Order: sequence, then structure tokens, then C-alpha cells
Amino acid sequence: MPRGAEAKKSIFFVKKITGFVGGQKKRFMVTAVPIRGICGSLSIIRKYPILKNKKGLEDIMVSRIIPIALSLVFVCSQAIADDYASPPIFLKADQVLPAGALKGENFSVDHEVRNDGLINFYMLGTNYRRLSAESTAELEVRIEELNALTIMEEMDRKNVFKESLVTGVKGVGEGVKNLVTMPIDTTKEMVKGTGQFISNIGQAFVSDDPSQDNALKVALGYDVAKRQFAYEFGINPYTDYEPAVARLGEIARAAVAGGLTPKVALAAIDHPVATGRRSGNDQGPRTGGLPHLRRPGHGKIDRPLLPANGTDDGWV
Amino acid sequence: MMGGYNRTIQPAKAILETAGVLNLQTGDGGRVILAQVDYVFWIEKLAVKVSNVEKALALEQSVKGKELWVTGRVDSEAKTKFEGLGWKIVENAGSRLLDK
Repeated sequence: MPRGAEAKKSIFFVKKITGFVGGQKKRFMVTAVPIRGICGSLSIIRKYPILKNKKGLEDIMVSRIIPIALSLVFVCSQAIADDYASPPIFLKADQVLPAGALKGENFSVDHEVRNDGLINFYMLGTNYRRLSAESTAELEVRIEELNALTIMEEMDRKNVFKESLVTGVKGVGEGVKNLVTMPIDTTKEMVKGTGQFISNIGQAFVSDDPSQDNALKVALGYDVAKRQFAYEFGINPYTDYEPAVARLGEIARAAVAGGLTPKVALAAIDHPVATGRRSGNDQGPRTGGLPHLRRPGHGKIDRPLLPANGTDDGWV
Repeated sequence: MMGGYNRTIQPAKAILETAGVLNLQTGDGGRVILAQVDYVFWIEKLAVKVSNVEKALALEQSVKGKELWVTGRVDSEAKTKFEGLGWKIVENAGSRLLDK
């Protein structure tokens, strides 16, 4: 048996031998744990009781122990030895990820991937800071967020919100006025049948969750807009990835202020998200909760993210 | 994954715990372990776990068939070990069991 405690727990041969030390006949017990083949066996021969006579030890090792141990170790190690993989195991990113996931406009996955025997551990260089992803599932989520950031930055570059922000103050004022003068109708309009708006208003007052938007933001439709944009981008609106949180927040605030819907905003750029090439773009809870989008055990969006063919066969 | 298996592969009879490992019992008496893992290697911890599961299953004489479904991949050596113990391995199960 190999390296490791399990082997030691189950020392498989204990040999009692008789040897001569200083001309006197003595009995010894020899145990051996094969490590990796014959060479390993030489270093793990133990004897009980410990010989105090160095000369005697040499006598015995030469005359008895080594031949016995070698033969037993060889036979037994062949019979029960397991060659365990020793974590961390190093893999190549291009062997475990589809090509599209290795590099993007704003990220690059490190070539070396560490594996603990079950889960892959990735490192990414990004335009923001280095990232780690503990599992392929988390990497998928991070890459989708990074891809979303590319789109969001493109929207920013193309001044999608410039015009809307000019009229933004008026838009916000109208929204608040309507909320005050026609609270029920306005609320109904904003909820659009999801029932989440009221819930979020309540949560906004009592929640300690840092990702819970405050009541004013919720009342102004920021909460809904953020989720709508997140849905269009295919990311979790409550992600903890800071660049995505910040950019998504900016866009949602600008969209609410300017009265821009995600569709209109995205139409300004030539991207699959904007042109409706993303699958299932008319399904799902743009304004509702996300529990059924979460992948069990990961708390992440439960949806194939890459590659574009809609399968995750390329991921391991 | 269990839900996906139950919906898309075959209805599960029960969710059981065997030597600390959750698994599905199928209608025909089989056992299915579902694991969301990336790349399985035959590491010592896994070998011990599998050994414990094997011992527990051996006490139950009604077990007919053992399957391991993983979202990722299984190293060839690990696959050999599992198959040697009578396990059927299903890799890249995520596309079949998740997102349904």
C-alpha cells in the first residue's frame, strides 16, 4: 500500500524472525510498509524491539531482514498498492475548458489549473484585477459577468444613456410624483404582476443585506431595472463581483433616470443580447425573483452560459 | 442534480444516505450518486469514501447496480477503479440533469 495513513493503519505483514546479535539468538518482529516499489521498501523497514546494538542491526539487515522484506514488499505492494493521485493536481486550461472560455475581451484564464482531486481552481487575469474561481461552475458565472461588463462598457462608450440622463431629473421627479399621488396605480404599474416590488420595499427597510437596495431606489424602479438588465446580460443581479455590481448599478440608475428600458438601451449596440440572439430572451423573471435560476449548491445562475451552442459539454 | 435525474432519467424511489454519501435509490434497486465535481482523480480521500460506501452497500443485499454521475470528467485511472468495483460512470451529466 502506498503513501498515506491508510497504509500504515493496515500494515499488512508482520514477520517474526530470529537473528543473532552479538552471538546471541534473539527474536524480532519486522513490519514493512511498501511505499512505491522496492526502493521505498528499503526505507521503511522497522523492527521491534529496537536493536541497541548497531553491529547486530547490520548483521540482521544483511542476513535476514532485507531479503525477507524485499520479497514480501514486492509481492504485497503489487497486490494491494493503490497509486493515489496526490493533490494538488495540475491541469491545462485548454484541456478542461472550451476555447471560448479561455480568453475574452477583458479576461484571460491562466493556463495552469489546480485540482484538489475533485474541483478545479482557476485564476484569471482581468481588466479589473486578478480573479479566482473555485470550480468550473463559478468560472462560468465569472466569465458571464465579465462578458456582461464588456457590453456595459460598450453601452457607456456609445453614450447610450447620455440623452436619457439629460432628461433624467425630470423622469425621476415624475416617478416620485406619481408614486405619491397615485400610489396604488403606480405601484401596480411597476410591479407588473410579479408581486416582488412590495416585498422588496419591505425588505429594503428591514434588511441588513448589503445587496438589498434602499427603499427609495426600490420605489424609483431601480431594483426592477437592475434585475431587468441583469437578466438581459445573463448575470445574477445580486452578484458579489464588484466591477459587475458597480457597473450594473450605474446602468440601472441611468436607465431609471432616463426612462430607458433594457431593450431600448441594448438596441443601441450591436450585440447578441441586444439583437435577441440570446436564447430564451422572452422567458424568465426579469422583474421577479431569481430562485429558480440558481444552481443548487452554488447559489449561482442556473443556466448554460457558454459556449454559444447551448451545451456545456466542453466544460469539465 | 437529483431533481434532474428524477425528472429526466428515471423516477427515484428514495433519497438515501450511505456512509455519509447521499444517493438515489432507483425503482429497480440501483443506487445513484450524483456529484457536481469538475475532474475526479483517484485520491486517497476518495478511495476511503468509496471503500466505506462499498462496505455499507455490501450489507444491503438488495442493491442492484451502482452509478456515479458527475458534471465534469473522471480521470481514466479513477474510472478504472470505480468500474473495477462495479460502478457505472456517467460524465458531463450537467447538460442532462441541470438546466431542465
